[in-house]
Amino acid sequence: MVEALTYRLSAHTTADDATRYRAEAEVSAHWALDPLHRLRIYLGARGWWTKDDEEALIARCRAEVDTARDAYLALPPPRPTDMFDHLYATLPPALAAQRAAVETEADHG
Amino acid sequence: MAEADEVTLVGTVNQALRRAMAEDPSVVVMGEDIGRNGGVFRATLGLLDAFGPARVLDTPLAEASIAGIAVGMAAAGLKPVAEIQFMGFVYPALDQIVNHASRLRNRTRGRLSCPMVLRTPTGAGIRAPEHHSESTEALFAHIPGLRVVVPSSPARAYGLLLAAIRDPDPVVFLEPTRLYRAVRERVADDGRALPLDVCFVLREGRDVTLVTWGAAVKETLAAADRLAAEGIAAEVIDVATLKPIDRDTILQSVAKTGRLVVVHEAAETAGLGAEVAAIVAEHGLLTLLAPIVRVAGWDTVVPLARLEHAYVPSEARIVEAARRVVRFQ
Repeated sequence: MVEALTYRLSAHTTADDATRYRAEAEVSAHWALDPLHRLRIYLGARGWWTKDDEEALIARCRAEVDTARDAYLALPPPRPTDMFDHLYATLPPALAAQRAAVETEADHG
Repeated sequence: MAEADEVTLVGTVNQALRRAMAEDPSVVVMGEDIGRNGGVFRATLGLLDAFGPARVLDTPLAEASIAGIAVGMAAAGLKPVAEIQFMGFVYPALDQIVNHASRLRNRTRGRLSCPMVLRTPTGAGIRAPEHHSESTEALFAHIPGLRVVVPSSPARAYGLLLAAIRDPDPVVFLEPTRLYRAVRERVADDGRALPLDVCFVLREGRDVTLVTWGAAVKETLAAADRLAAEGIAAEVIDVATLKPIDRDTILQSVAKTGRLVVVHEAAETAGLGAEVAAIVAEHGLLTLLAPIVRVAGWDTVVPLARLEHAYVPSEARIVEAARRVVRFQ
């Protein structure tokens, strides 16, 4: 069993301003303890991880995220009836009327 | 008296909390990030500085504990006002609310009581992720011993929250998230509560009764405006206290108009609209001139941001339903 204390280094969300409730010194102290950060220092000190390696990795990750984001943005807008598609294996007849009403409203809306 | 400022709904929640804490030292507020951070919607902003950490408690991320601690505090004579960040996070707290808060008075034959308020933002319309958009007020309204209160304007949030905090029994206080900053109105911070357990008639009309609450009041009032332009005079009733529900105001209105449309954002099946319809069916059937119609959220999971507009009952749906019952022969 591993019991580990963890620390959130970034803000909770893009709407969260973490400086409201914690000091910069507290956050930077935790950055120094971050295992990923420490592993990079360790690998770098032994010459197993160079600046070029890191830049290449970041570029690859960024491209992967950009591709995923572009794929999402290219999706057609969801149809209002999508709400009903995965509620049950088979839409119960009792819900068919609601689905039809949504379809009608979407056509008129 | 100083002229009242224009305040948002989240602003009047803050004012009511501040007022209640100033007038009664037994009032404490608690919840996740409500102290130093002022709450996820800033409803408790400034309370920590004003009243100190003994009365403004930042809690761990543990809703069951928040509710349980509040029950204990209330039983011991404090008046806790606990915040749950979103209604979708309230379910771990249900055991404490349903099995303890609601029935402490009954279980102890009146020796203990549970004068706590559980505040939580409710409803869709702020483009938030899953679990941040629910309106499950009917779950709470089903529980004997609870009060369920939903304000629909800054003034009613102020007056009803003060009343909820002063009430000797547990109150679930649901704050419509999409109304938090939707409007500003002049509200006098005068410590005056509004009555619980009564509906508010927001607009009078003779042709059809529109019964609603919470965020849906916004679209319902807009629908009433549009109906008026067509010559249909709609009466708009804000239920405000969902439990116990004020039958008289609803029945008197339906006796006058003969037509009822119930509007709520929560899913239709087993929603509070069914209760309103049942009250009228039981006690006012012969005053009806048309079948009762419900305009409610669909019986689906509340969809994500891009479909919220198709889930929340629209002004157009309300207008259409009202026209239908008015034209019914």
